[in-house]
Amino acid sequence: MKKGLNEQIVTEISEKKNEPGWMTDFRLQALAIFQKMAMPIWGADLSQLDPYDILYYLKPFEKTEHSWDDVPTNIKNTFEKLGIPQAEQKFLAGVGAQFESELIYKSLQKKWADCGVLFTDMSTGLRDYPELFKKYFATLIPAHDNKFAALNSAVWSGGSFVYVPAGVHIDMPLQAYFRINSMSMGQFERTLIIAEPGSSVHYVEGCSAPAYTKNSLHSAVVELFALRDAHIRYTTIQNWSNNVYNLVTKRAIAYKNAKVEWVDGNFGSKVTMKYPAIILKEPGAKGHIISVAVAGAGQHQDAGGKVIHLAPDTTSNVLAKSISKAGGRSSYRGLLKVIKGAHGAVSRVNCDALLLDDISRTDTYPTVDVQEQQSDIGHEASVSKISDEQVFYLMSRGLSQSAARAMIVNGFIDAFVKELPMEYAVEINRLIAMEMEGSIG
Amino acid sequence: MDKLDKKIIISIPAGQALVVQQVPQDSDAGEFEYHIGENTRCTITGYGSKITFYCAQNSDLTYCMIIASDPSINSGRTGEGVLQSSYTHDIKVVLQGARARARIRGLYLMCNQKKLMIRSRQEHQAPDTQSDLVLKGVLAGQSQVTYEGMVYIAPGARRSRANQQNKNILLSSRAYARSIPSFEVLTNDVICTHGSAVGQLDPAQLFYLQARGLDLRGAKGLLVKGFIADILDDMPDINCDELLSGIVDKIVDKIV
Repeated sequence: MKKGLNEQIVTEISEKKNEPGWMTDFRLQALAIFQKMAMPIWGADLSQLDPYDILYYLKPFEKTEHSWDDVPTNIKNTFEKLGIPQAEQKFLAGVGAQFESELIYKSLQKKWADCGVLFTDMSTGLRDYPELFKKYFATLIPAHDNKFAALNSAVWSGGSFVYVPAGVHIDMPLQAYFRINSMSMGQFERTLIIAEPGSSVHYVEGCSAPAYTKNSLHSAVVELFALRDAHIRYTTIQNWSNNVYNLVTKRAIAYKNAKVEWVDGNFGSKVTMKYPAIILKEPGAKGHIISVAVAGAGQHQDAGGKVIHLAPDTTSNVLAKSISKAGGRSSYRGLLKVIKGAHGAVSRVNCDALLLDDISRTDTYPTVDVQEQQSDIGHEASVSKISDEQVFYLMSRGLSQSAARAMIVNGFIDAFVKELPMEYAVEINRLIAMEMEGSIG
Repeated sequence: MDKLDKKIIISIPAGQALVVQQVPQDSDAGEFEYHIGENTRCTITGYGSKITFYCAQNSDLTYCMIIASDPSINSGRTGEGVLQSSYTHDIKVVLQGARARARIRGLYLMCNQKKLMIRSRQEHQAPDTQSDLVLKGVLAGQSQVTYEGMVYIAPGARRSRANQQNKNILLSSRAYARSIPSFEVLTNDVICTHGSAVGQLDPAQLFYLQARGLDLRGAKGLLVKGFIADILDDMPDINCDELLSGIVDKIVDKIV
């Protein structure tokens, strides 16, 4: 398949995946929308990005694997480098590693399958559960939502399809690793999670990509449906290489008394534009967004969160932490909206930024939009640097300067790290220590 | 000449111990530009639709304003204005010299169907500069307020301190507030904070006061006064006397 984007390529992707006619039509419509919409003029600089110079689909050579022994060595090595012991990986409920554009490994433990839990890749979801799939697919993020949602809708491949039946609690996180292994290859995965009434699920996606020389594009779409009393937690650790444009649309809807949590760590990429959103649709719904962004040399992390209170007695909490170093720029861009009639809505937004040197930059662009008198809304932000007194204190107790700084930074993002599964927390601490090396100002 | 086209430039000379000035009220100008000289301390009250302060080294500026939405709550006193049906207020402070300081205090009391748009920009261009902005609003009726604030700290403006606060109380179910307090920080040795809040009067506090014999109106008035008291305390001496608190009583009465 060639680079580029036109109707023929989109049709070809759809044919190769043996998709039903409605999906092909959906893709073609999305392509027309993508071609019509202008590039966003706000946020990060996208002028270097040419979406027509990208390979849109690659079929992996490997067939889908079913047991751990069959997983290719290079993928196992990547897992090793991420510092996750093999035994622990096997213990985790299901591991889907996205190699090139397909899920090649997935092993959902039998007891979950017996409960009716579905954890599969999107193409399988579409093939095996067409009615369920069609009921939810693209209803929360339609193709015309934004230019990159349209692009994803046209060329999506890969991603996870998760369905949790009513009342089922999955107590171990479901995991999928995403990797980019081919130069100039965009990844356009699409994830759909449906939590039926009273169920709960924790989905974890961790991304790591080797470095490449040419700009790469990652544009995912994630839709979460938390029905009555359901609880969805979605954890992302993103560590794309420094040439990737990471333009992601994530949105969740929470029905009565449901709870949605986005835990979002953005460590790599050249440009990230990602604003996980929660729509609190029915009374009692709760939303939490906890995020960390680290911007190093040449990076712009334009991340944030959106919460829209549509019903009474809904609550939300946003905690955003960012670290800028070596000339990097991190921005918080958020929206907090309370419509008329959403009485009793309570929301708190906190943004803290840490600047490690005097050539880095941090911005905050929050919007607080309140149309309901009976609500309680607050936003707070602060910017600081690593204080010399703290470094001095730690060094006088025997730490090296970089260890002292790493400890302070780890303390700064502690509230985020605490929310991660243990192995990720370890990984993040290692990552921070690594990033701190050579960053002595 | 169109009202908003006219610009008045006012220079405050260097080395003044304390200058107290009022923005010309009966002038037909819409735009004011103040140049505050080195080592000068000054207090400016009043407002124009667009007001810019350029602050030289070591200068110390206090700017205060009260905007009332209704003529009957305006007494023509200093620092106080009456709105048209919709109004835009632009405040810009440029701290050009090292150790320049600026304090901005604003109060807006809104009722009926008035719309107010406030924009502010605190620009730190030199090291050791400080800016502190607090805007508080009381919104009744179908009033609408949009606030867009920006704190900008230029590269090299080390040891700057900036604070930006916008707090709104909604007294009516039809009032509407939108607040966008932003900042852009391009150097690391700074202390920069901002906050924004929208809420209603605390029902528990209203209940408490009523249980102690105040009627609903009196209780609301007392709580609103408490909410805006710190702004009034920060107003310069010429304003912060009984006269002003009298005006505020009137305003609160009208709004509540």
